[in-house]
Amino acid sequence: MIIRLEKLSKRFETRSRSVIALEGIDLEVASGELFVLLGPSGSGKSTLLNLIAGLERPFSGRILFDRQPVADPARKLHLPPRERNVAMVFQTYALYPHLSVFDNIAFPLKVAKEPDQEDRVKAAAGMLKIQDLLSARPAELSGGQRQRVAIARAVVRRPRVLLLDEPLSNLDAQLRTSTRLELKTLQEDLGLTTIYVTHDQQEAMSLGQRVAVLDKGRLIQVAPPEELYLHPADEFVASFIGSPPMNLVVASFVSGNKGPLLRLAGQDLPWPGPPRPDLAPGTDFRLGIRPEDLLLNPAEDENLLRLPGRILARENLGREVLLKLQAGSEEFLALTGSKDFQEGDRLTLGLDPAKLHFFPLSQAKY
Amino acid sequence: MSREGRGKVLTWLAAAGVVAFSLAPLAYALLIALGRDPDFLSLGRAFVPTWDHFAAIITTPSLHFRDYLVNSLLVSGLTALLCLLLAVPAAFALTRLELKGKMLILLGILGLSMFPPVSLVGFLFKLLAAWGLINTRTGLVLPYAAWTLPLVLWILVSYFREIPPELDRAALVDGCTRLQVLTRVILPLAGPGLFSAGLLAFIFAFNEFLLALVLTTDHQARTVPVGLALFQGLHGQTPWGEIMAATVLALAPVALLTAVFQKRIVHGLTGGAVKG
Repeated sequence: MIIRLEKLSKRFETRSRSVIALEGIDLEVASGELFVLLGPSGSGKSTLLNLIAGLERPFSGRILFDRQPVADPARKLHLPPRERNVAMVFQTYALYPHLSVFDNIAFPLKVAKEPDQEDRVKAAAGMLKIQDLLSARPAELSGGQRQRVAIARAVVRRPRVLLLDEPLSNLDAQLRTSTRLELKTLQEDLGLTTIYVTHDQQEAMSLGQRVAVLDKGRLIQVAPPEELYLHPADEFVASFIGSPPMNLVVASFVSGNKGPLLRLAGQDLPWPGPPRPDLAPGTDFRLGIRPEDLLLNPAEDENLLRLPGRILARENLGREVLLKLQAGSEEFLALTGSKDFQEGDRLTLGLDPAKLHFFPLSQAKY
Repeated sequence: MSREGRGKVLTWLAAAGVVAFSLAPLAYALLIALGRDPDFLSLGRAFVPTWDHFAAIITTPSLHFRDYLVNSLLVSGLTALLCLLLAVPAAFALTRLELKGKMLILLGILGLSMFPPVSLVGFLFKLLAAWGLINTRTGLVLPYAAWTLPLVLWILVSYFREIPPELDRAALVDGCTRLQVLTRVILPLAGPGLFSAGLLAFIFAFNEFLLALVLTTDHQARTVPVGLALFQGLHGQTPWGEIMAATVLALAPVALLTAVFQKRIVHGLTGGAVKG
């Protein structure tokens, strides 16, 4: 099913003021897509999910399922969740404590008085490998098992949309990775249109066919994971996606005798790249470079920017080494496979103009 | 004796003292109910055990004890039921809906229950007289329900609050209407709370004296506490043996309920204070 959001906004009225939770969200999720909503806490991603589920009412804008509006405050239209045929998995799983696993999974079928309840519950339980737990109570289950019950309950009645609200964040790290893969397989097998909310950029990158990045109630960028990584739309996306985070420093272009110079970390470096007419000389902007794109002691190459630096700290991550570097007035993080660098070493940093990201200077520093 | 041992002995002594102090009147009532001669203590006569007093109050129609007991049980049971019927939707609304001034409503209801009953009893008499409800069981159930409703509501609210709202949302997404959320999820989970709240309402109504005294005139609606108090006027002398036997019998249902369900009653009163 295709989900379409048009100019969707949501406000919460508190005692003294009205808080804007979402503003001007335009989005289309394709049929059968695994779509990820990514953002820090308070970005409005869970609110957006609740709006789609019908648990909250939008302030303005429209929500359409397969071109049929399900929420349109302008026409006083608001279908309750049960008329939207959506299913949801909650961060806390929200299993019914007074019901057995079987009855938990059967709950949506019973409410809808659907036929073949037993067979369908068993099929869903089999899919999630919890056939042996059907008579247990939720309190007797581990976190991972509860999570599976919650997913089984969500998929048992073949909903039109599957909504997942941080379903993995209560699991420990190992279980999270394996469940992530299973979830992806399950989603592909069922071909369900799925919206997955998370604050974990790794989860978003590994799961999403497309990822929407939200910040402070606004949609910043919607793109496939690689695109987000390679071409972040702004400084926020650049800093949020990738681990360790992208280096972001203030820089500007200045005019020199032999062409433009890049003023960076207190030094003026000859600019070897193509001219940037969009960045006026003398205007500060934010320059970004990923730790893995920072070259250390590169071979002589006139197409590189070269910056002398010193290693402040060294952290062994196993396969790679994370270095904290001082270059001029700025600090950088660099990721390298070489184990030869030691704390205090002096070296040259090489910046490839093609790997640099340019962002207008925003007020906030992330 | 060790310090610990002394402490234990003192604890037991103190507990025994409290129990003796509380139960002494009851023991006295039991003795007199079972003794042939109510004055045996003062006159130095021998204690002769007998069931006569119990037999008398149960079998003597003119004493109307059985009527009183039936009235009490009916009035108390209906009071508890009516309270729950009213308090369940109210607690659901107060904990689940976005209402302005929720706390104000709750505190206002609590404030209402602070009025001394005596201050209302005159007006209540006139009102019920106008409705023709004097000396009827209905005429007792209505004020009793009004009186216990705040307590029952507060207990239910504290129980409903403990149920995570995420369960409501899950149930809504799973296809429930709001009413089904209440009947399929909240009520089953709040079962112990419903039970203890209803029990407290029952016990309150069973023990109530003042309103029952003013609002009833004879055995058609009179409850046990009032019946007991008015026993004395019936015969020439005060029938202490019968009064005490009736007291013991009247205590039995409440004592039994409390003994069997004491854990739930305590939990009902402290519900919401700690996670059950």
